[in-house]
Amino acid sequence: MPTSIARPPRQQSNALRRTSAALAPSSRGSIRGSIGGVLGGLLACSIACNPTGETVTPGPKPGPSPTPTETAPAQGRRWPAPPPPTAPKPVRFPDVASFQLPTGLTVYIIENHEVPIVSAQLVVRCGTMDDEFLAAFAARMLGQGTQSRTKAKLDEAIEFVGGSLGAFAGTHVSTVFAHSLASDLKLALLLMADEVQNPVFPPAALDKVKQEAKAELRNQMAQPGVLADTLFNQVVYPEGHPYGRPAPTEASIDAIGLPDVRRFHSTFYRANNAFLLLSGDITAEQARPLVERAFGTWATAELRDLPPNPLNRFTRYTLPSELVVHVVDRPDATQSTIRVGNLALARNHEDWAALAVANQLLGGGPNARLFQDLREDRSLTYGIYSHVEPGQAPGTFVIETQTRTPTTGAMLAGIFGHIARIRTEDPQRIEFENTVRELVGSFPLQVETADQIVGKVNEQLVYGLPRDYWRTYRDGLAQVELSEVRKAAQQYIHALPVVVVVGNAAEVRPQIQEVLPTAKVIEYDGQLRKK
Amino acid sequence: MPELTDSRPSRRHPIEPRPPRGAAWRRAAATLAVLGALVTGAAAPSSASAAVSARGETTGSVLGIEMKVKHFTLGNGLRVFVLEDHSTPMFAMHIAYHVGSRDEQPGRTGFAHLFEHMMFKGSGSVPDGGHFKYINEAGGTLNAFTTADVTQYHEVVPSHYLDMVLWLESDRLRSLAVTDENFENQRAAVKEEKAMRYDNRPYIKALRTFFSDAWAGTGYGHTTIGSEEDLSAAATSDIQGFFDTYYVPNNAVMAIVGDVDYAEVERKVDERFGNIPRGPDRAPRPAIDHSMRGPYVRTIEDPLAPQPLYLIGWKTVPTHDPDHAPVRILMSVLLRGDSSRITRLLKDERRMVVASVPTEGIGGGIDAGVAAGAFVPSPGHGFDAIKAVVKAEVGKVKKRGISPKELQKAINQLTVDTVSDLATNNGRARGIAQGALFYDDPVHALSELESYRKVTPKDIKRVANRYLTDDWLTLEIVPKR
Repeated sequence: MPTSIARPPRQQSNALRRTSAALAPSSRGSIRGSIGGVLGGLLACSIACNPTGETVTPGPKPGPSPTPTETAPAQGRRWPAPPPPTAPKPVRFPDVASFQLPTGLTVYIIENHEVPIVSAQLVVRCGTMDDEFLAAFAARMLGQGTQSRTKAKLDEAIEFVGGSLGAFAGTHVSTVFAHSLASDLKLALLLMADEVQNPVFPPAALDKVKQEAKAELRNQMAQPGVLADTLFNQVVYPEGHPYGRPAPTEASIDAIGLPDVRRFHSTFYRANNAFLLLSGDITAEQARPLVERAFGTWATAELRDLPPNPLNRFTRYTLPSELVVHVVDRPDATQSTIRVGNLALARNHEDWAALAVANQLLGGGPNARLFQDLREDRSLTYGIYSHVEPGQAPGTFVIETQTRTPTTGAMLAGIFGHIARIRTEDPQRIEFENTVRELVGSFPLQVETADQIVGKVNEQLVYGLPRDYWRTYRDGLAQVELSEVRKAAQQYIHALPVVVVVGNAAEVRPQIQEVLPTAKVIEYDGQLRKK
Repeated sequence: MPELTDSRPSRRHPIEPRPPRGAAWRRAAATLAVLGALVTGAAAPSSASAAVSARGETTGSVLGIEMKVKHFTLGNGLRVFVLEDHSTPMFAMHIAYHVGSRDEQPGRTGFAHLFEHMMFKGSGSVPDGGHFKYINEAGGTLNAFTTADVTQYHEVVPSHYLDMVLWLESDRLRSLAVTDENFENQRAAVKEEKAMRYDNRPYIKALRTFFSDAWAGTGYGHTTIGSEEDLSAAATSDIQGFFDTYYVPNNAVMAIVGDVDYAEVERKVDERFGNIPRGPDRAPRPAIDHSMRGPYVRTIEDPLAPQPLYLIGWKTVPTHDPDHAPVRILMSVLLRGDSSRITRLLKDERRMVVASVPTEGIGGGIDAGVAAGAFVPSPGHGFDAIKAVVKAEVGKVKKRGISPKELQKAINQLTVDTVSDLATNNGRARGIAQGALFYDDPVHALSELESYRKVTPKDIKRVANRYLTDDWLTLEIVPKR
């Protein structure tokens, strides 16, 4: 466990998942996004999707994994090897240019001139870890009007050029983002700077934004996955920890006061407590005058006025001493939504790469053991994946899946079996090598677009990773030894995990008692109140 | 230091539409210089085999994005489109088969999608699941999707795996292997998918009913995922007939975009696919009856819905209809973004809704357009009040049309959408394959932008009067408690 986390850097990639589960005002978490997702889902059926609805790929048969250069035994016959790859081409993580304004605002530029589009992300070092509601509302209220522009004027200006401008609060950082044609960057930055520096937080808008937030909350709380994630984190983390807050309520949204939102904004939204990522069809030379004009007079903060990183208050984390299954009762549910996992490590921990390999092998994708066994062979689910949640403080290792109500017990037994196996047996050499090759080989696909590169740079800055992290990333993975997989699993994939099941309690309870006879069961209602 | 707006003077369109008012407008007009797509027949590399014919090149250009798509056709009818982009050592490949759920037989709804699953269950040289295994282990990704109109398979991989991708796709087109066991396994997987993605999520069931009802009696009158009983009734023996009818090279289009060499692609595609026999040409699809427009009024109770959701729509036109562009722009003006006419009124000014979104293109298909808006009401605001606002705003457009500035805004939004889609190899490959398949135009994405640019305010007024009639399609989804 880390001892102390400095305030700067305290950023987080918006490509990453950690946001306040039930109050995430990002475009993806917004009600507009979720309705759009529902409608879009009508269009197409695809072969596989993960529990969040994004399409991903399912996988092959299990068993001893053949490499593409060998003949593969499968289903009792021998298969020809696929054509071998030609010589791989070098992949280089692109250069990142940067400069700093006298006010302390640092600007990073990632060039990509393939299409005439530019993205700007202003990352402010404050998030829901500082205050869940104030961070979210400060971000939401930025676009409700400035000293010189009404909301209608702001909307008209950015929408006229076909661009977008918005803001959301993540756990560690808040992000104001803009997307436009390169030729409209000047306008986008001026509007962004105006929202950030001169917001008026109109009182009448607060009520409207509360209505929107409550509608989103109702949608979120109707989703079993959100309930499962929220309760899982609440149980895993100590009380009051920013990563494990209880679900918001409509009453807590109603209680938000405008003076507090203003104070939050004024405390944290300062030039030297932020950085700007510009990416796409732009150069540093072109960017500098635009940034100077938009942000040159943004006020700075006295460092002593910035509150300390609240994660530093948590120096000790405890692990469960007994097996508890937390069941959220949804009597109408036909499926059980399951989370199994535990507290793991911080993103910048030296064991991250070894755990990444172990995770990939166990549940990182469709080729992994969990998917191969529990979906492909046993048809217990449409998808099952594991991941390691990044954080400045220790994140979690978590397995997530859904299964039909009657197969809940079989699914839990299967998951526990796989956890035991990866903790006690070394993987076969070939399985290990295929896993590492997959992780290393996918890198070119992760650095195709400017937005992807920005996500990586942001991740490096958020979690305090070394400057050359992405340049050496693949080497780090390739250096993981086979024996480290079991070691990482023993340390970070626990035999006594936290289990959350959202589903029909009456039907799943006897199944849990059958397959996990030592487990204590705690029941909650659909609002996550203990029964 | 060059001014950004002046950095690309050569890309300005010689004729700027309408007198500008304000700096922002001027800038956008300059940036939105859309140069037309031009088609040229170009000489192809001479090394290729005689089985390859009809080589050519199509170039589209907008805002400095040039799409220079080369193409060739194999002797068996497979059409292949290639766009080179060597900026990252990876490429995307899409192969689109001209078959979708609208081609399904009565009593076999869901079959096109179920068949798509079977394409991953092994073929002559590839074991069950081999596609996933080989592609993922190479660090690549793959998937497939089925819509009413098309079934499309795609891979994104590091560029040194070109041979493997062509081998995988050609093997299943040549020699798909179907066993009862595999079929049962995938039937179960599809039912699981239906349970998780459709039956266990709010609104989905009701929305499916709405759109299917709107097109009852046509190929669009049922859902792509199909019904539980039809999925149960499908038999292994149905597979072969479907495969022989639709999975033939002359019913497919392939698009490869990224770090590949055209001549190498032509040679290797010919090697892998050239000797797969041509199949029968597929029968033309029955025409879609557009005469029934409405009205349609429906209320559906949804036990999973946390709050009401309202839909208001109209049947419009197929995507290839000349009126498609003005209809799309019209819906944008009415509903897209907080500054659009209806959304601004309902959301910010009157606070009757917490969300208002256009659903252009959703629920229909290339031959069946529905233009609709979806609304999440604020507590205490009923459907009738929202309908009255929509009716009044639609009435204003019918009477007075829209301003040139509103038109330009919608065009700008559609332009950014298109340019963003084209930022990835995968987006370009998807667009090229569908453009070629549906419109015989691999740079259709850019041609479509060109068609938006030609729309006039007068067109908007005309299509508003023609399609946004009193024959509304309305759906009220209410939570069931």
